[in-house]
Amino acid sequence: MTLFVEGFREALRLIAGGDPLVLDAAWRSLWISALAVLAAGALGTLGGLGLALLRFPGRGLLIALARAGMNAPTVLIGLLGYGLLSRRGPLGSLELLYSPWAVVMGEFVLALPIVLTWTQGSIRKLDHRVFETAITLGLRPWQRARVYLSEARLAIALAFLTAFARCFTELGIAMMLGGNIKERTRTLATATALETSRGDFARGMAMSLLLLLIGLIITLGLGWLNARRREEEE
Amino acid sequence: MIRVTGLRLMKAGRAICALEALEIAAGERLLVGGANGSGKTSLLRILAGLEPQFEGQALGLPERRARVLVHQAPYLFRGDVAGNVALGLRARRLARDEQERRVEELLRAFDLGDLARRSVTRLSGGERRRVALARALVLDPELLLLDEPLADLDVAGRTALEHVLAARPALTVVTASPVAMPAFLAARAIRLG
Repeated sequence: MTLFVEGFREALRLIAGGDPLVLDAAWRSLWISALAVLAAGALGTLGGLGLALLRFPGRGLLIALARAGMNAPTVLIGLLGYGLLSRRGPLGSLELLYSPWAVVMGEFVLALPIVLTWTQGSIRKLDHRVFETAITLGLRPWQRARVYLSEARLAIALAFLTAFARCFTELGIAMMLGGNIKERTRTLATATALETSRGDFARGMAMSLLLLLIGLIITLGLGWLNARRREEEE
Repeated sequence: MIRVTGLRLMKAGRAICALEALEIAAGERLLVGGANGSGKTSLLRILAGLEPQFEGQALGLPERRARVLVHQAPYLFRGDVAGNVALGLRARRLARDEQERRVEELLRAFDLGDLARRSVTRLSGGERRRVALARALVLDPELLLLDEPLADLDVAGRTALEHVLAARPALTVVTASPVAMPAFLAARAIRLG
């Protein structure tokens, strides 16, 4: 028990004192996940809109793939990414392995199915009058797309936040594609794993406390969005 | 002149709307009556172009963009009243000041001037109806399809609609309702079912 108490006390001291290594990992976790979610969000929103509105061969398969992809293990994404980016892989010449960009790419793959599936689902679930009103008012296709996204915006915002939470806390991709290099690719999750295995329990605790704290903020945001969505549906 | 013959709409193996023949003259005010489930709404939807799967013929319909349907329970898009009324106009090639003039005119006609900037989530049922009517009429359609338009309108709202329609003698108006409608919506009536 003292291990926890001591660890907790030390963790608070490290965070409050602004330990450079802790802050460095926290900042990297933030910008890597944010970038991955922004890119996946842009593509996923447009793709989800297309999957919801267009009829084309292979559409059902794509939706099923995206749904399955929501539960893809991060180590699998890490493994496939490693195969692509390692020196002998097809993208090896880019020399991206063990760079933060490799982690961004992996987390992009993690986030994309979440945004795709949620956007597609939320647009399919819109009131049928939304589509009919847009058609009967003679809106142009881009105007219609904007109206649909605007009507589904809360569900899509939820998808962005969920994807961010997933990327921010994941370990497998950051470990396998980033390599946990100090001050270069170390994230809060990989740092926690490292410090704990090294026996520096307090540092591990500090890292995961920060993870928890930011996760908590995201959860509060999710709850707030959900409450607003329910309010609007009534 | 709109000429409908041998119209039938099938849903799940059942004919939900059937009509042998109907002619609607330009500028006519036609009431489509009939019991619940007799296919009134379906007829409006076919005329609006929202049911492309119908059997039979419907000739002489104005082009897609000159027909507007106002639902029985209209759906207003997120945003304010003026934004909803202006939405359809933005899809048409019109000078900006002409758009603004029309929006303002219709807002005034339906006594919505003071509500122009109000969010649609804070409107009463009658106000929502007036916004939906203004949003359709601002497009200056040739064919207006109204599903139960008076359901939640008060006397002032009804009078406003009457004035707006009186000022547009060339507009063809088809109204669906199971109950009687005032003369400005029902110069002629047919029954389905």
